[in-house]
Amino acid sequence: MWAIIAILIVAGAIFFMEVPKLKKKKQIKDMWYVIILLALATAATLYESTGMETPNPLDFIQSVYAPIRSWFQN
Amino acid sequence: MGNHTISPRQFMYLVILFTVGSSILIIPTPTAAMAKQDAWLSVLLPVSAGTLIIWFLSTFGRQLENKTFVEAAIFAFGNWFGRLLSFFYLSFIFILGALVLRNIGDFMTTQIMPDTPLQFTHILFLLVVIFGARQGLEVIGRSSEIFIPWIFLLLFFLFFSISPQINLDNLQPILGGGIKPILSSSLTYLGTPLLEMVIFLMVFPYVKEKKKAGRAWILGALIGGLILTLVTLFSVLVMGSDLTALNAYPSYELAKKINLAGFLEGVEIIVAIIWMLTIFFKLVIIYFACSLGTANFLNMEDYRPLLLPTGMGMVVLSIVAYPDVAYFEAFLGETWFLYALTHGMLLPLIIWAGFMIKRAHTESS
Repeated sequence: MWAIIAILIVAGAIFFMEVPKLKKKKQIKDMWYVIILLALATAATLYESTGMETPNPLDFIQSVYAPIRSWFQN
Repeated sequence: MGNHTISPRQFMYLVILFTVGSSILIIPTPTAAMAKQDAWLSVLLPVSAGTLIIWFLSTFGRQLENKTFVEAAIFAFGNWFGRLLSFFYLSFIFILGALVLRNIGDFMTTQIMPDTPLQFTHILFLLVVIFGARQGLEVIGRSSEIFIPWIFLLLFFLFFSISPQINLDNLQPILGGGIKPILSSSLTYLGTPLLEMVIFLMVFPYVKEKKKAGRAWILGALIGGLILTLVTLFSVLVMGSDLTALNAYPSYELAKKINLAGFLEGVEIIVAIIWMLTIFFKLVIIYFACSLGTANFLNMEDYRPLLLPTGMGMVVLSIVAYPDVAYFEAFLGETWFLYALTHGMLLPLIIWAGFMIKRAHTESS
């Protein structure tokens, strides 16, 4: 519970640090990119903080390279 | 993007710091496990072979002129396929950044601050890194000039004060296991700092005097490699190959063994400054390259707004990246070399070929 609140506070702080500056400079496209990336990062952090099994990119990389590796070792 | 440029000398310092950072903790264990007493040879061998890789990368960097790697990929392969290739490149940098962050986090939690949760070590360390990356490349280059004498001083102190405990018998028999274990364990060094050098193709456009910078790159990689060879050599000389292979952090264990006449002891934390500083610089470069690359990828005007969101993602990835050290060692030993080979050698080769064809094409028409 506390973790979720802390993450939301941090995400909000980042939002108010970066987004108004970009809006002022009229870089609307850049602003949306930052918002999207921030939303993705926040979602990932929230998902991880609930303690659910998070998909691990390293597992994915290992499964991709497994056939090459076995071919390499022979 | 901004007016940041660095001199070839600063670039060389950054390459040295990048090579030593985190590899100083990682390299001795697997090489000593595989090549036993010849572990130092399995670091020295790829250092010399790696010159060829660096030579290729620096030639490529010079041909790119003022384009970063991501811009070159988009220039050569068009908006969609070029972006797909850059995506692989950026994900490689991002994953590497998370792993390097986890290295220092693991070190801190297992050796120095066992009660602090991993997340907080990561967040605190990354905050400093973000601050550094926000200042831009010029500041990073200048601070490397300040810190490099400290790195050399501390390394000299480590080697000097451990030298009374050297036991030359630990090195014998030289080449006792034949050449094969040395060759297979040299892949570790090739994968860990050498093939990661591709990241500098994001920094290279901002270095002045490209010709000198290319030489500085090769020289920096050589100096960094020699430092790592010495660290591995001293670990084996003092502790023997078995103990080096068993320890998670042989370089830290080496520093713990410092004992000058029963007077100077327990200075390991001072020596640990070496990897705190080098890992900091490695992470700053990775971080700069990653956010600058993402900004190029998205056609943004400045990379700075991306720093904080990227940091959030990196902390999460560094936590979920591996459940325990055994998983990491297996990953490093089995998959990392291939992963780094495809992203650090194959990908730049493809982009280089495409870039040369495209450039010749635009010049003729």
